[in-house]
Amino acid sequence: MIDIKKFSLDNGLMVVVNEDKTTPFVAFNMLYDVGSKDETPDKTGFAHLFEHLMFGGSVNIPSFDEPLQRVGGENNAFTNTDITNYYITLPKENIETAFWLESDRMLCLDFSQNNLNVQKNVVCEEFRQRYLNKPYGDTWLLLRPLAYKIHPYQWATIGKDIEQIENATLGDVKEFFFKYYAPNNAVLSISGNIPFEEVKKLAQKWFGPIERRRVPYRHLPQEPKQTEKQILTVHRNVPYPSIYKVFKMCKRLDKDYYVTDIISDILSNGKSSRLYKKLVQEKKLFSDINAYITGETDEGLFVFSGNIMSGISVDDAESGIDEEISKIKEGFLFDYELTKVKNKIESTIKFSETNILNKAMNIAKFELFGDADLINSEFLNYSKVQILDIKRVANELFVDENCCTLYYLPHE
Amino acid sequence: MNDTLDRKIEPLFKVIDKIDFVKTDKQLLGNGIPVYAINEGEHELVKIDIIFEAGEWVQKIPMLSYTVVSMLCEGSTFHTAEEIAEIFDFLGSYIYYNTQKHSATITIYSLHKHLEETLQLIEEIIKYPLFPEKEFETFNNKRKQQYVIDSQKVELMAQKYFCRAIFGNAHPYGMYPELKDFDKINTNNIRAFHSQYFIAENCKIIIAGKIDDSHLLLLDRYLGDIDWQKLVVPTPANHVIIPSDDKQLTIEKKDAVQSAIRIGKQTINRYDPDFPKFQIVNTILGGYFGSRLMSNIREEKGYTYGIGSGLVSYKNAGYFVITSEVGKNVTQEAIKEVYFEIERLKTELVSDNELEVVRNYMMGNLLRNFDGPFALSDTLKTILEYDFGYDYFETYIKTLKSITPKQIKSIAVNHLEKSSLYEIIAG
Repeated sequence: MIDIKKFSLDNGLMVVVNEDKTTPFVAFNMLYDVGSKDETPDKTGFAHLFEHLMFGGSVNIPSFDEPLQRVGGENNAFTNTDITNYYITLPKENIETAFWLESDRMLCLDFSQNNLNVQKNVVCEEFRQRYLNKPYGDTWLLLRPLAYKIHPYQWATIGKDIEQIENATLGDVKEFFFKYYAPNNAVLSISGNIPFEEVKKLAQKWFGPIERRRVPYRHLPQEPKQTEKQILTVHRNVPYPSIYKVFKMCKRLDKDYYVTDIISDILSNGKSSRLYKKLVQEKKLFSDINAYITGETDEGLFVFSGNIMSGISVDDAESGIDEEISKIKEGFLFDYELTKVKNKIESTIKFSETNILNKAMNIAKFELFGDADLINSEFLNYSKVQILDIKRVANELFVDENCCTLYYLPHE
Repeated sequence: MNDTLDRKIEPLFKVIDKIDFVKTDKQLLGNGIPVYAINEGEHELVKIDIIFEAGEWVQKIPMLSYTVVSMLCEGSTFHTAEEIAEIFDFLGSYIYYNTQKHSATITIYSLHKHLEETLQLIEEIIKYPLFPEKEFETFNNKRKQQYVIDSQKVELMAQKYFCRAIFGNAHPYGMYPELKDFDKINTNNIRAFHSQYFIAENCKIIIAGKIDDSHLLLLDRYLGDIDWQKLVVPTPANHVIIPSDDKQLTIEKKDAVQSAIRIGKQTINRYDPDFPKFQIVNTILGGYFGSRLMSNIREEKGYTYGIGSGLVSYKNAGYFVITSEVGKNVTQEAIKEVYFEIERLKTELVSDNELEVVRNYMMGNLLRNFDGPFALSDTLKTILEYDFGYDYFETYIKTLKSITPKQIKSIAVNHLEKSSLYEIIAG
């Protein structure tokens, strides 16, 4: 149970607070409601590149990191398809420094051509390091366009290719900033050793004077229902074949989200889960296999990814996955197994509540979904899932017309 | 804009000047196993580390220690591998198996309500594992395949040859397994290793979370019996460091688009009074986001996604290393800048401003090491390995507060002589 209090400023900034007196720290988290899904197809990777620019100094403060380090703080950020999230942890006595820094870069960035040039290089190296220079590194660059034809989830957050990142201009940067980095497009969340009243005072002082901005109404092209299975085969310099099967799943706020997540847990959470037990231990088809969901705001993906054991044919490996899918669809499931998965979810949630940064990130996310307090009904939502739900959702989800398969093979 | 604030002036801040060390309570189980208890936190859960002096230092075959500890859960006298996995998952308990240079550790995360059943099974897998042939084969084949995949990663290639070069391939700190080493492990040497090292005399336990006597009683009930004492403590192993004469090595990987760089050397460890000072030098050079290497090579030149340096302490030696993956076409330029930054530390005095930032940043990090039961238990694990008490951190804080730019320069001069550095490039 996370105790949550919240308020909003006149400029639209939502502020969500969890007081936790057990720690000498405060976690300070700023979520902007903008992700790679808000990019246009010719300027992909921009939301993430922009995240890098947010550390290059703002209108009144030349360096973001140095003043924070001077007061014992740490910070970082991430971008995904749906959101861009910035976070800071620092000793509770110095919390005002976080308000000062974060509000100034919301007020206005220091748009610098030099910073843009350098960060373009940095992001290109990130692209190379994480996606091009690792075995199987480009998997998601291939899977997304296979699974989505219309929706902007069709490109990875890093961008379609290096060239688009290189082409970004300072004009793009300014436009993006004033379009999306607005108080009325953000959620500030705080967890840690700070009284609610102090947050109120500091939020008003530092963020209150920032003006509301005109944030464009989001109307993303919706992905039409897939009608036939998609297959892609690639050959790369890798030692073993891998297989990826993805199925389009429901939206994050759909009631079947919890059922879908539980299906992925039954298949793949822990050493006693079905895929590991059957396909790794018993049949020895894979050296490693996972099932998980992306759980994005719009229709996300249910993913199977397996590295095939040396000497096993791709067909046999795939049949192994298909058999497990069939069992779930037939409703082959015991109460015991469902209870096990729910126990594990309960435990995961309880452990995640011991960490202020986790809590701050999560309550911001749920506030974006509509209400931070929703986080406290998560376990209840999972615990309501019944065997019949699982059978029903599995039959809607795991159909050939809804499947995309990537065969990632070594050179012949 | 209706903004009367002066946003150019940073808010007042407080420098952290002391840390309240949480008292750790040490007790002995019936069989003499020391238990360190950290009672912190408000949630009904615990973390337990069961630590055996059974790391890579004592293994005669590469990866044997890791294989043994990871295979404890693959079948016992009373339960099959499958049943063990079922029970832990059903309880929602998370069990991790890990090997370091000097220790093999089983880490348990459990809710209070399931702790007893979890410990019951933990006792069983520690005392009566079977190491079945079939499960071993599956385990080893999986690991082999992962090894082959990892061998394609330039950063692992560079790391492998770097450790070998500075410590020598025969030394546990320099040892990096080869594919053929997987075939040297078998259930006989696994069982022998287990019965020699997984004994009460070779064990210590850290328990952290919201705990009371009942939790300690559970530990005593399941792990405090004398039935797993051997009364023979393994004799300490001895190893000699034989560094390579060749300080430069390039490993080519044709299709790579980046090169992994390792520059560094064998050096002092935590026992040396200079170690905290060297940690400060390391932080200035490459130990945090605002470090000189990051500022120059990433934030000014854009040669890399990340570059950093680290000072690693093991019980019998330490090493210093700079690590990065850089664009293939700028490798030489990046290396040149690395040496430039090292030279600068040796010839110029650090400014008061930079020293203040680093000092406060490091104090903040130290405070993080004492924030909450899980961080506390990790910190305790580290100092126990060296038989230090919390006074180690008092010395550290004193050093942090009193170090001068001159001392920093002299540490750099003493420890970062260019001709002493190894340089490994893979890509």
